[in-house]
Amino acid sequence: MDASLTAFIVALIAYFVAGTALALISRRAGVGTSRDYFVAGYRLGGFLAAMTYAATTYSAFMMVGLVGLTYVTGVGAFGFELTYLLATVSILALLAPKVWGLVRERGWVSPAEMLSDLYGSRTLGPVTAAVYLAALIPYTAAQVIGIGIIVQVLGGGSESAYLAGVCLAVATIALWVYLGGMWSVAATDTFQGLWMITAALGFIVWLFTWGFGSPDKLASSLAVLGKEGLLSTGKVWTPMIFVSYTIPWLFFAVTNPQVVQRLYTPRSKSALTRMIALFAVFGLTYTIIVTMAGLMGRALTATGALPFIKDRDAVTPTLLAHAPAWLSAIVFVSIVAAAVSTADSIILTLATAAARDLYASVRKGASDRTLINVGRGAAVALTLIAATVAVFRPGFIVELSVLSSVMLLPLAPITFAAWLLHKRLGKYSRAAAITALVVGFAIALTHAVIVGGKKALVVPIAGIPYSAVVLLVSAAILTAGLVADALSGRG
Amino acid sequence: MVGVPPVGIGRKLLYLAWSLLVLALAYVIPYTLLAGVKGMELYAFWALLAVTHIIVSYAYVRFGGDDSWTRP
Repeated sequence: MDASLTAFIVALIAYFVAGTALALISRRAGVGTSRDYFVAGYRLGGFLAAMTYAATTYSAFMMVGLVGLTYVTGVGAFGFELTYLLATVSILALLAPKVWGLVRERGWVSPAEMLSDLYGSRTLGPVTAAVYLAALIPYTAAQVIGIGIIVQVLGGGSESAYLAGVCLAVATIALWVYLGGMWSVAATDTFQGLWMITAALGFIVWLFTWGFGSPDKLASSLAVLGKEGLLSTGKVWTPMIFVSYTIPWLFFAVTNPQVVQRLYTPRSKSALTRMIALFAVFGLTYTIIVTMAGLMGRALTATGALPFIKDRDAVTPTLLAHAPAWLSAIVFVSIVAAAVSTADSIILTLATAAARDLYASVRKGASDRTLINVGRGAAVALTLIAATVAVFRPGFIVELSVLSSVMLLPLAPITFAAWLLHKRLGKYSRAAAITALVVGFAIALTHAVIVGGKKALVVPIAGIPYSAVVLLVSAAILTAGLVADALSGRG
Repeated sequence: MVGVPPVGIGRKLLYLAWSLLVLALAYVIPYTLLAGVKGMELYAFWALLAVTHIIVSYAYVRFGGDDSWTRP
Protein backbone atom coordinates (compact mmCIF):
# COMPACT_ATOMS: atom_id res chain seq x y z
CA MET A 1 0.00 0.00 0.00
CA ASP A 2 1.56 3.33 -1.02
CA ALA A 3 2.00 6.28 1.32
CA SER A 4 -0.81 8.34 -0.27
CA LEU A 5 -3.39 5.61 0.20
CA THR A 6 -2.28 4.89 3.77
CA ALA A 7 -2.45 8.59 4.66
CA PHE A 8 -5.89 8.87 3.04
CA ILE A 9 -7.27 5.88 4.96
CA VAL A 10 -5.90 7.22 8.25
CA ALA A 11 -7.38 10.68 7.60
CA LEU A 12 -10.70 9.15 6.52
CA ILE A 13 -10.94 7.03 9.69
CA ALA A 14 -10.11 10.07 11.84
CA TYR A 15 -12.77 12.08 9.99
CA PHE A 16 -15.43 9.38 10.39
CA VAL A 17 -14.70 8.71 14.07
CA ALA A 18 -14.59 12.40 15.01
CA GLY A 19 -17.76 13.18 13.03
CA THR A 20 -19.67 10.26 14.54
CA ALA A 21 -18.55 11.24 18.04
CA LEU A 22 -19.83 14.77 17.41
CA ALA A 23 -23.12 13.42 16.07
CA LEU A 24 -23.55 11.33 19.22
CA ILE A 25 -22.67 14.22 21.54
CA SER A 26 -25.07 16.53 19.68
CA ARG A 27 -27.98 14.26 20.70
CA ARG A 28 -27.61 15.64 24.22
CA ALA A 29 -29.26 18.83 22.93
CA GLY A 30 -32.46 16.78 22.85
CA VAL A 31 -34.52 15.38 19.99
CA GLY A 32 -37.80 14.81 21.82
CA THR A 33 -40.07 16.46 19.25
CA SER A 34 -40.16 16.45 15.46
CA ARG A 35 -39.28 20.15 15.56
CA ASP A 36 -36.14 19.26 17.53
CA TYR A 37 -35.23 16.53 15.08
CA PHE A 38 -35.88 18.40 11.81
CA VAL A 39 -34.93 22.00 12.68
CA ALA A 40 -33.04 21.69 15.99
CA GLY A 41 -36.01 23.16 17.87
CA TYR A 42 -35.14 26.62 16.43
CA ARG A 43 -32.22 26.64 18.91
CA LEU A 44 -28.98 26.74 16.90
CA GLY A 45 -26.34 29.31 17.82
CA GLY A 46 -25.01 31.70 15.17
CA PHE A 47 -21.75 29.83 14.59
CA LEU A 48 -23.40 26.42 14.15
CA ALA A 49 -26.09 27.94 11.91
CA ALA A 50 -23.45 29.67 9.74
CA MET A 51 -21.29 26.59 9.38
CA THR A 52 -24.18 24.30 8.50
CA TYR A 53 -25.42 26.89 5.97
CA ALA A 54 -21.94 27.09 4.42
CA ALA A 55 -21.15 23.37 4.45
CA THR A 56 -24.58 22.60 2.98
CA THR A 57 -24.11 25.16 0.20
CA TYR A 58 -20.53 24.40 -0.77
CA SER A 59 -20.32 20.87 -2.15
CA ALA A 60 -17.52 18.82 -3.70
CA PHE A 61 -18.05 21.05 -6.76
CA MET A 62 -15.79 23.68 -5.18
CA MET A 63 -12.53 21.75 -4.76
CA VAL A 64 -13.04 19.64 -7.87
CA GLY A 65 -15.41 21.36 -10.31
CA LEU A 66 -14.61 25.02 -9.67
CA VAL A 67 -10.83 24.51 -9.54
CA GLY A 68 -11.11 22.78 -12.91
CA LEU A 69 -13.54 25.32 -14.35
CA THR A 70 -11.18 28.16 -13.41
CA TYR A 71 -8.21 26.23 -14.83
CA VAL A 72 -9.98 25.80 -18.17
CA THR A 73 -11.99 29.03 -18.50
CA GLY A 74 -10.08 31.56 -16.38
CA VAL A 75 -11.28 34.39 -14.16
CA GLY A 76 -14.87 34.26 -15.43
CA ALA A 77 -15.38 31.21 -13.21
CA PHE A 78 -14.63 33.40 -10.19
CA GLY A 79 -17.31 35.88 -11.28
CA PHE A 80 -19.75 33.03 -11.84
CA GLU A 81 -19.31 31.76 -8.26
CA LEU A 82 -19.17 35.24 -6.76
CA THR A 83 -22.48 36.41 -8.23
CA TYR A 84 -24.09 33.58 -6.25
CA LEU A 85 -22.52 34.92 -3.05
CA LEU A 86 -23.48 38.55 -3.77
CA ALA A 87 -27.10 37.63 -4.45
CA THR A 88 -27.33 35.27 -1.47
CA VAL A 89 -25.97 37.84 0.96
CA SER A 90 -28.54 40.37 -0.32
CA ILE A 91 -31.42 37.90 -0.07
CA LEU A 92 -30.40 36.85 3.43
CA ALA A 93 -29.97 40.44 4.61
CA LEU A 94 -33.31 41.55 3.18
CA LEU A 95 -35.53 38.54 3.79
CA ALA A 96 -34.03 36.14 6.34
CA PRO A 97 -35.25 38.23 9.33
CA LYS A 98 -38.77 38.27 7.92
CA VAL A 99 -38.76 34.51 7.31
CA TRP A 100 -37.23 33.89 10.74
CA GLY A 101 -40.07 35.89 12.33
CA LEU A 102 -42.78 34.15 10.26
CA VAL A 103 -41.39 30.74 11.22
CA ARG A 104 -41.85 31.55 14.89
CA GLU A 105 -45.42 32.70 14.31
CA ARG A 106 -46.45 29.75 12.14
CA GLY A 107 -44.27 26.90 13.43
CA TRP A 108 -43.05 25.58 10.07
CA VAL A 109 -40.58 22.76 9.89
CA SER A 110 -40.35 22.10 6.15
CA PRO A 111 -40.09 24.61 3.26
CA ALA A 112 -42.95 22.89 1.38
CA GLU A 113 -45.11 23.25 4.49
CA MET A 114 -44.23 26.96 4.49
CA LEU A 115 -45.42 27.44 0.90
CA SER A 116 -48.58 25.43 1.55
CA ASP A 117 -49.39 27.56 4.56
CA LEU A 118 -48.64 30.95 2.97
CA TYR A 119 -50.65 30.15 -0.15
CA GLY A 120 -53.39 28.39 1.84
CA SER A 121 -53.14 25.39 -0.47
CA ARG A 122 -53.06 21.73 0.56
CA THR A 123 -51.94 20.72 -2.94
CA LEU A 124 -48.93 23.01 -3.25
CA GLY A 125 -46.99 21.33 -0.40
CA PRO A 126 -46.99 17.78 -1.81
CA VAL A 127 -46.35 19.07 -5.38
CA THR A 128 -43.39 21.08 -4.08
CA ALA A 129 -42.12 18.07 -2.14
CA ALA A 130 -42.31 15.96 -5.33
CA VAL A 131 -40.27 18.57 -7.24
CA TYR A 132 -37.68 18.58 -4.43
CA LEU A 133 -37.34 14.81 -4.71
CA ALA A 134 -37.06 14.84 -8.51
CA ALA A 135 -34.48 17.64 -8.52
CA LEU A 136 -32.40 16.72 -5.49
CA ILE A 137 -32.09 12.94 -5.56
CA PRO A 138 -29.86 13.12 -8.71
CA TYR A 139 -27.84 15.91 -7.03
CA THR A 140 -27.39 13.79 -3.89
CA ALA A 141 -26.44 10.77 -6.00
CA ALA A 142 -23.83 12.93 -7.73
CA GLN A 143 -22.23 13.66 -4.33
CA VAL A 144 -22.13 9.93 -3.54
CA ILE A 145 -20.62 9.25 -7.00
CA GLY A 146 -17.96 11.90 -6.27
CA ILE A 147 -16.94 10.11 -3.07
CA GLY A 148 -16.89 6.77 -4.90
CA ILE A 149 -14.60 8.20 -7.60
CA ILE A 150 -12.16 9.67 -5.03
CA VAL A 151 -11.82 6.31 -3.27
CA GLN A 152 -11.56 4.58 -6.66
CA VAL A 153 -8.76 6.88 -7.87
CA LEU A 154 -6.79 6.53 -4.65
CA GLY A 155 -7.47 2.78 -4.51
CA GLY A 156 -5.89 2.08 -7.87
CA GLY A 157 -8.94 2.45 -10.10
CA SER A 158 -10.77 -0.79 -9.26
CA GLU A 159 -14.55 -1.06 -9.27
CA SER A 160 -14.49 -2.58 -5.78
CA ALA A 161 -12.77 0.58 -4.51
CA TYR A 162 -15.56 2.64 -6.09
CA LEU A 163 -18.20 0.50 -4.37
CA ALA A 164 -16.33 0.82 -1.07
CA GLY A 165 -16.48 4.61 -1.49
CA VAL A 166 -20.22 4.49 -2.17
CA CYS A 167 -20.76 2.29 0.91
CA LEU A 168 -18.70 4.67 3.04
CA ALA A 169 -20.74 7.63 1.80
CA VAL A 170 -24.06 5.90 2.45
CA ALA A 171 -23.07 4.78 5.94
CA THR A 172 -21.82 8.24 6.90
CA ILE A 173 -24.79 10.16 5.50
CA ALA A 174 -27.46 7.83 6.89
CA LEU A 175 -25.81 7.50 10.32
CA TRP A 176 -25.23 11.21 10.84
CA VAL A 177 -28.79 12.10 9.81
CA TYR A 178 -30.31 9.23 11.80
CA LEU A 179 -28.59 9.97 15.08
CA GLY A 180 -29.74 13.48 15.86
CA GLY A 181 -31.41 14.99 12.79
CA MET A 182 -30.58 18.68 12.42
CA TRP A 183 -28.51 18.67 15.62
CA SER A 184 -26.11 16.00 14.40
CA VAL A 185 -26.11 17.38 10.85
CA ALA A 186 -25.29 20.90 12.10
CA ALA A 187 -22.57 19.62 14.46
CA THR A 188 -20.94 17.47 11.78
CA ASP A 189 -21.38 20.25 9.18
CA THR A 190 -19.45 22.59 11.48
CA PHE A 191 -16.66 20.05 11.85
CA GLN A 192 -16.65 19.42 8.10
CA GLY A 193 -16.79 23.12 7.21
CA LEU A 194 -13.73 23.76 9.37
CA TRP A 195 -11.97 20.78 7.76
CA MET A 196 -12.85 22.10 4.28
CA ILE A 197 -11.56 25.63 4.82
CA THR A 198 -8.42 24.47 6.66
CA ALA A 199 -7.58 21.95 3.95
CA ALA A 200 -8.18 24.56 1.23
CA LEU A 201 -5.85 27.00 3.01
CA GLY A 202 -3.18 24.30 3.34
CA PHE A 203 -3.60 23.45 -0.34
CA ILE A 204 -3.17 27.02 -1.58
CA VAL A 205 -0.17 27.71 0.69
CA TRP A 206 1.52 24.51 -0.51
CA LEU A 207 0.67 25.28 -4.16
CA PHE A 208 2.19 28.76 -3.89
CA THR A 209 5.32 27.47 -2.16
CA TRP A 210 5.81 24.47 -4.44
CA GLY A 211 4.86 26.09 -7.72
CA PHE A 212 6.10 29.67 -7.41
CA GLY A 213 8.01 30.38 -4.21
CA SER A 214 7.68 34.15 -4.38
CA PRO A 215 4.99 36.73 -5.17
CA ASP A 216 7.06 38.04 -8.11
CA LYS A 217 7.23 34.60 -9.71
CA LEU A 218 3.48 34.17 -9.21
CA ALA A 219 2.77 37.59 -10.73
CA SER A 220 4.93 36.93 -13.78
CA SER A 221 3.32 33.50 -14.25
CA LEU A 222 -0.19 34.96 -14.00
CA ALA A 223 0.79 37.60 -16.56
CA VAL A 224 1.20 34.79 -19.09
CA LEU A 225 -2.45 33.90 -18.49
CA GLY A 226 -3.41 37.47 -19.37
CA LYS A 227 -1.89 37.04 -22.82
CA GLU A 228 -4.02 33.89 -23.28
CA GLY A 229 -7.19 35.85 -22.42
CA LEU A 230 -7.80 33.93 -19.19
CA LEU A 231 -7.82 36.99 -16.93
CA SER A 232 -10.88 38.54 -18.58
CA THR A 233 -14.26 37.08 -19.49
CA GLY A 234 -12.65 36.13 -22.82
CA LYS A 235 -14.23 33.97 -25.47
CA VAL A 236 -15.70 31.37 -23.10
CA TRP A 237 -17.69 33.56 -20.74
CA THR A 238 -19.84 35.37 -23.28
CA PRO A 239 -22.66 37.44 -21.76
CA MET A 240 -25.18 34.72 -22.74
CA ILE A 241 -23.18 31.94 -21.07
CA PHE A 242 -22.49 34.06 -17.99
CA VAL A 243 -26.19 34.91 -17.57
CA SER A 244 -27.30 31.34 -18.26
CA TYR A 245 -24.89 29.86 -15.70
CA THR A 246 -25.45 32.46 -12.99
CA ILE A 247 -29.27 32.82 -12.96
CA PRO A 248 -30.00 29.51 -11.18
CA TRP A 249 -27.41 30.33 -8.52
CA LEU A 250 -28.67 33.89 -7.95
CA PHE A 251 -31.84 32.36 -6.51
CA PHE A 252 -30.29 29.31 -4.82
CA ALA A 253 -31.06 30.75 -1.35
CA VAL A 254 -34.82 30.72 -2.05
CA THR A 255 -35.18 27.72 -4.34
CA ASN A 256 -33.16 25.04 -2.55
CA PRO A 257 -35.06 23.68 0.46
CA GLN A 258 -31.95 22.53 2.31
CA VAL A 259 -30.80 26.14 2.69
CA VAL A 260 -34.28 27.64 3.18
CA GLN A 261 -34.77 25.24 6.10
CA ARG A 262 -31.61 26.59 7.72
CA LEU A 263 -33.21 30.03 8.03
CA TYR A 264 -35.58 28.48 10.59
CA THR A 265 -32.85 27.29 12.93
CA PRO A 266 -31.06 30.27 14.59
CA ARG A 267 -32.16 30.69 18.21
CA SER A 268 -32.31 34.51 18.13
CA LYS A 269 -32.06 37.41 15.74
CA SER A 270 -28.49 38.08 16.85
CA ALA A 271 -27.70 34.43 16.03
CA LEU A 272 -29.24 35.02 12.61
CA THR A 273 -27.04 38.10 12.12
CA ARG A 274 -23.96 36.06 13.01
CA MET A 275 -25.08 33.32 10.66
CA ILE A 276 -25.30 35.72 7.71
CA ALA A 277 -21.99 37.44 8.47
CA LEU A 278 -19.97 34.27 9.10
CA PHE A 279 -21.44 32.51 6.08
CA ALA A 280 -20.51 35.48 3.85
CA VAL A 281 -16.92 35.51 5.13
CA PHE A 282 -16.62 31.72 4.75
CA GLY A 283 -18.05 31.85 1.23
CA LEU A 284 -15.78 34.63 0.01
CA THR A 285 -12.67 33.07 1.56
CA TYR A 286 -13.40 29.62 0.14
CA THR A 287 -14.24 30.99 -3.31
CA ILE A 288 -11.03 33.04 -3.48
CA ILE A 289 -8.88 30.09 -2.38
CA VAL A 290 -10.48 27.65 -4.81
CA THR A 291 -10.35 29.94 -7.84
CA MET A 292 -6.79 31.04 -7.07
CA ALA A 293 -5.83 27.34 -6.99
CA GLY A 294 -7.32 26.95 -10.46
CA LEU A 295 -5.48 30.02 -11.77
CA MET A 296 -2.19 28.91 -10.17
CA GLY A 297 -2.57 25.47 -11.72
CA ARG A 298 -3.16 27.03 -15.14
CA ALA A 299 -0.21 29.39 -14.65
CA LEU A 300 2.00 26.36 -14.01
CA THR A 301 0.76 24.88 -17.29
CA ALA A 302 1.24 28.18 -19.15
CA THR A 303 4.86 28.41 -17.99
CA GLY A 304 5.59 24.78 -18.90
CA ALA A 305 5.87 23.46 -15.34
CA LEU A 306 2.84 21.18 -15.79
CA PRO A 307 1.37 19.54 -18.90
CA PHE A 308 -2.10 20.69 -19.95
CA ILE A 309 -4.83 18.81 -18.07
CA LYS A 310 -7.66 18.03 -20.48
CA ASP A 311 -10.16 16.63 -17.98
CA ARG A 312 -11.05 19.59 -15.79
CA ASP A 313 -12.25 17.37 -12.94
CA ALA A 314 -8.73 15.92 -12.85
CA VAL A 315 -7.01 19.27 -12.13
CA THR A 316 -7.12 19.03 -8.33
CA PRO A 317 -6.04 15.35 -8.21
CA THR A 318 -3.21 16.09 -10.68
CA LEU A 319 -1.93 18.97 -8.55
CA LEU A 320 -2.27 16.90 -5.37
CA ALA A 321 -0.18 14.12 -6.91
CA HIS A 322 2.80 16.47 -6.34
CA ALA A 323 1.84 17.33 -2.74
CA PRO A 324 3.06 15.57 0.44
CA ALA A 325 0.98 12.48 1.19
CA TRP A 326 -0.45 13.93 4.42
CA LEU A 327 -1.64 17.14 2.72
CA SER A 328 -3.07 15.25 -0.21
CA ALA A 329 -4.98 13.01 2.24
CA ILE A 330 -6.38 15.99 4.16
CA VAL A 331 -7.53 17.71 0.95
CA PHE A 332 -9.11 14.55 -0.47
CA VAL A 333 -10.96 13.99 2.80
CA SER A 334 -12.08 17.65 2.67
CA ILE A 335 -13.70 16.85 -0.69
CA VAL A 336 -15.42 13.85 0.90
CA ALA A 337 -16.53 16.15 3.75
CA ALA A 338 -17.92 18.71 1.29
CA ALA A 339 -19.92 15.99 -0.48
CA VAL A 340 -21.20 14.41 2.75
CA SER A 341 -22.16 17.75 4.33
CA THR A 342 -24.19 18.71 1.27
CA ALA A 343 -25.76 15.28 0.84
CA ASP A 344 -26.79 14.73 4.46
CA SER A 345 -28.40 18.18 4.64
CA ILE A 346 -30.41 17.44 1.50
CA ILE A 347 -31.39 14.00 2.82
CA LEU A 348 -32.57 15.54 6.09
CA THR A 349 -34.63 18.13 4.22
CA LEU A 350 -36.15 15.50 1.93
CA ALA A 351 -36.90 13.33 4.98
CA THR A 352 -38.63 16.35 6.54
CA ALA A 353 -40.76 16.68 3.42
CA ALA A 354 -41.57 12.95 3.50
CA ALA A 355 -42.64 13.07 7.14
CA ARG A 356 -44.30 16.48 7.37
CA ASP A 357 -45.65 17.10 3.86
CA LEU A 358 -46.48 13.59 2.67
CA TYR A 359 -47.00 11.28 5.68
CA ALA A 360 -48.60 13.86 8.00
CA SER A 361 -50.99 15.00 5.28
CA VAL A 362 -52.28 11.42 4.96
CA ARG A 363 -52.15 10.44 8.66
CA LYS A 364 -53.69 13.39 10.46
CA GLY A 365 -52.73 13.69 14.11
CA ALA A 366 -49.60 11.52 13.87
CA SER A 367 -47.54 11.83 17.05
CA ASP A 368 -44.16 13.55 17.18
CA ARG A 369 -42.45 10.23 17.89
CA THR A 370 -44.08 8.72 14.79
CA LEU A 371 -43.00 11.67 12.62
CA ILE A 372 -39.41 11.36 13.85
CA ASN A 373 -39.44 7.63 13.06
CA VAL A 374 -40.94 8.29 9.62
CA GLY A 375 -38.29 10.95 9.02
CA ARG A 376 -35.51 8.57 10.08
CA GLY A 377 -36.89 5.79 7.89
CA ALA A 378 -37.22 8.19 4.95
CA ALA A 379 -33.64 9.40 5.45
CA VAL A 380 -32.29 5.86 5.32
CA ALA A 381 -34.49 4.96 2.33
CA LEU A 382 -33.56 8.13 0.39
CA THR A 383 -29.86 7.56 1.07
CA LEU A 384 -30.19 4.02 -0.24
CA ILE A 385 -31.96 5.29 -3.37
CA ALA A 386 -29.14 7.78 -3.97
CA ALA A 387 -26.64 4.96 -3.42
CA THR A 388 -28.42 2.71 -5.90
CA VAL A 389 -28.30 5.47 -8.50
CA ALA A 390 -24.61 5.95 -7.67
CA VAL A 391 -23.85 2.26 -8.14
CA PHE A 392 -25.44 2.08 -11.60
CA ARG A 393 -24.37 5.62 -12.60
CA PRO A 394 -26.93 6.19 -15.38
CA GLY A 395 -25.53 9.00 -17.52
CA PHE A 396 -28.70 11.05 -17.66
CA ILE A 397 -28.99 11.11 -13.87
CA VAL A 398 -25.48 12.52 -13.52
CA GLU A 399 -26.28 15.13 -16.15
CA LEU A 400 -29.55 16.02 -14.44
CA SER A 401 -27.70 16.62 -11.19
CA VAL A 402 -25.97 19.59 -12.84
CA LEU A 403 -29.37 21.10 -13.55
CA SER A 404 -30.99 20.64 -10.14
CA SER A 405 -30.95 24.38 -9.49
CA VAL A 406 -32.63 25.09 -12.84
CA MET A 407 -35.36 22.56 -12.07
CA LEU A 408 -35.94 24.29 -8.74
CA LEU A 409 -35.90 27.75 -10.34
CA PRO A 410 -39.73 28.05 -10.67
CA LEU A 411 -39.76 28.14 -6.87
CA ALA A 412 -38.00 31.52 -6.91
CA PRO A 413 -41.01 33.71 -7.86
CA ILE A 414 -43.34 31.43 -5.88
CA THR A 415 -41.27 31.78 -2.72
CA PHE A 416 -40.65 35.51 -3.10
CA ALA A 417 -44.39 36.09 -3.53
CA ALA A 418 -45.13 33.90 -0.51
CA TRP A 419 -42.72 35.84 1.72
CA LEU A 420 -43.62 39.32 0.50
CA LEU A 421 -47.27 39.15 -0.57
CA HIS A 422 -48.73 36.35 1.58
CA LYS A 423 -51.59 38.54 2.79
CA ARG A 424 -52.70 39.11 -0.81
CA LEU A 425 -52.65 35.54 -2.09
CA GLY A 426 -56.04 34.20 -3.15
CA LYS A 427 -57.43 31.32 -5.20
CA TYR A 428 -55.94 32.54 -8.50
CA SER A 429 -52.49 32.88 -6.96
CA ARG A 430 -52.80 29.37 -5.50
CA ALA A 431 -53.66 27.88 -8.88
CA ALA A 432 -51.00 29.97 -10.61
CA ALA A 433 -48.30 28.89 -8.14
CA ILE A 434 -49.00 25.19 -8.78
CA THR A 435 -49.16 25.77 -12.56
CA ALA A 436 -45.96 27.85 -12.54
CA LEU A 437 -44.13 25.15 -10.61
CA VAL A 438 -45.28 22.30 -12.85
CA VAL A 439 -44.78 24.18 -16.15
CA GLY A 440 -41.40 25.62 -15.13
CA PHE A 441 -40.16 22.23 -13.98
CA ALA A 442 -41.43 20.59 -17.19
CA ILE A 443 -39.59 23.15 -19.37
CA ALA A 444 -36.38 22.66 -17.38
CA LEU A 445 -36.57 18.88 -17.63
CA THR A 446 -37.70 18.70 -21.28
CA HIS A 447 -34.93 20.99 -22.53
CA ALA A 448 -32.37 18.98 -20.55
CA VAL A 449 -33.61 15.70 -22.00
CA ILE A 450 -33.68 17.06 -25.58
CA VAL A 451 -30.26 18.73 -25.74
CA GLY A 452 -28.54 16.77 -22.92
CA GLY A 453 -27.81 17.89 -19.39
CA LYS A 454 -24.27 19.06 -20.07
CA LYS A 455 -25.30 21.26 -23.01
CA ALA A 456 -28.59 22.54 -21.60
CA LEU A 457 -27.07 25.61 -19.99
CA VAL A 458 -25.21 26.70 -23.12
CA VAL A 459 -28.01 26.05 -25.64
CA PRO A 460 -30.51 28.92 -25.52
CA ILE A 461 -34.25 28.69 -26.18
CA ALA A 462 -35.26 31.20 -28.87
CA GLY A 463 -32.05 33.10 -28.24
CA ILE A 464 -32.78 33.48 -24.53
CA PRO A 465 -30.66 31.66 -21.91
CA TYR A 466 -32.43 28.44 -20.88
CA SER A 467 -32.47 29.26 -17.16
CA ALA A 468 -33.93 32.71 -17.91
CA VAL A 469 -36.76 31.10 -19.90
CA VAL A 470 -37.64 28.82 -16.96
CA LEU A 471 -37.62 31.78 -14.60
CA LEU A 472 -39.55 34.13 -16.90
CA VAL A 473 -42.27 31.61 -17.76
CA SER A 474 -42.92 30.63 -14.14
CA ALA A 475 -42.82 34.28 -13.04
CA ALA A 476 -45.28 35.26 -15.80
CA ILE A 477 -47.76 32.53 -14.80
CA LEU A 478 -47.58 33.49 -11.14
CA THR A 479 -47.93 37.20 -11.97
CA ALA A 480 -51.10 36.45 -13.91
CA GLY A 481 -52.53 34.78 -10.81
CA LEU A 482 -51.52 37.65 -8.57
CA VAL A 483 -53.09 40.18 -10.95
CA ALA A 484 -56.28 38.11 -11.17
CA ASP A 485 -56.53 38.04 -7.38
CA ALA A 486 -55.92 41.78 -7.19
CA LEU A 487 -58.63 42.49 -9.80
CA SER A 488 -61.14 40.20 -8.12
CA GLY A 489 -60.47 41.45 -4.60
CA ARG A 490 -58.57 38.23 -3.69
CA GLY A 491 -61.17 35.92 -5.17
CA MET B 1 -55.72 58.68 5.90
CA VAL B 2 -52.42 57.64 4.40
CA GLY B 3 -50.68 54.92 6.46
CA VAL B 4 -47.32 55.64 8.03
CA PRO B 5 -44.65 53.38 6.53
CA PRO B 6 -42.63 51.23 8.95
CA VAL B 7 -39.48 52.90 10.29
CA GLY B 8 -37.07 50.58 8.46
CA ILE B 9 -38.66 50.80 5.01
CA GLY B 10 -36.43 53.63 3.75
CA ARG B 11 -33.28 51.77 4.70
CA LYS B 12 -34.70 48.59 3.18
CA LEU B 13 -35.27 50.32 -0.14
CA LEU B 14 -31.82 51.89 0.03
CA TYR B 15 -30.24 48.50 0.71
CA LEU B 16 -32.29 46.92 -2.09
CA ALA B 17 -31.08 49.62 -4.49
CA TRP B 18 -27.49 49.05 -3.32
CA SER B 19 -27.83 45.28 -3.87
CA LEU B 20 -29.19 45.76 -7.38
CA LEU B 21 -26.37 48.19 -8.15
CA VAL B 22 -23.76 45.71 -6.90
CA LEU B 23 -25.23 42.91 -9.03
CA ALA B 24 -25.45 45.19 -12.06
CA LEU B 25 -21.80 46.16 -11.63
CA ALA B 26 -20.80 42.50 -11.26
CA TYR B 27 -22.41 41.77 -14.63
CA VAL B 28 -21.68 44.93 -16.62
CA ILE B 29 -18.16 46.03 -15.69
CA PRO B 30 -16.45 42.79 -16.88
CA TYR B 31 -17.93 43.33 -20.36
CA THR B 32 -17.32 47.08 -20.57
CA LEU B 33 -14.60 48.81 -18.54
CA LEU B 34 -12.66 45.63 -17.84
CA ALA B 35 -13.26 43.78 -21.10
CA GLY B 36 -10.07 42.19 -22.38
CA VAL B 37 -7.84 43.12 -19.42
CA LYS B 38 -4.54 41.28 -19.25
CA GLY B 39 -3.80 41.64 -15.54
CA MET B 40 -5.63 40.71 -12.34
CA GLU B 41 -7.88 43.81 -12.48
CA LEU B 42 -11.10 41.86 -13.07
CA TYR B 43 -10.35 39.38 -10.30
CA ALA B 44 -9.54 42.26 -7.94
CA PHE B 45 -12.68 44.15 -8.98
CA TRP B 46 -14.98 41.21 -8.23
CA ALA B 47 -13.20 40.48 -4.94
CA LEU B 48 -13.36 44.11 -3.77
CA LEU B 49 -17.00 44.35 -4.80
CA ALA B 50 -17.76 41.28 -2.69
CA VAL B 51 -15.82 42.56 0.33
CA THR B 52 -17.61 45.93 0.13
CA HIS B 53 -20.99 44.26 -0.24
CA ILE B 54 -20.41 41.99 2.74
CA ILE B 55 -19.41 44.96 4.93
CA VAL B 56 -22.43 47.02 3.83
CA SER B 57 -24.74 44.02 4.29
CA TYR B 58 -23.43 43.33 7.77
CA ALA B 59 -23.94 46.98 8.72
CA TYR B 60 -27.46 46.78 7.32
CA VAL B 61 -28.53 43.64 9.22
CA ARG B 62 -26.77 44.72 12.39
CA PHE B 63 -27.84 48.36 12.60
CA GLY B 64 -30.47 49.09 9.98
CA GLY B 65 -33.09 47.25 8.02
CA ASP B 66 -36.14 46.12 9.87
CA ASP B 67 -37.08 48.21 12.87
CA SER B 68 -37.53 45.09 14.98
CA TRP B 69 -34.16 43.81 13.79
CA THR B 70 -32.28 46.07 16.20
CA ARG B 71 -34.19 44.78 19.24
CA PRO B 72 -33.21 41.13 19.72
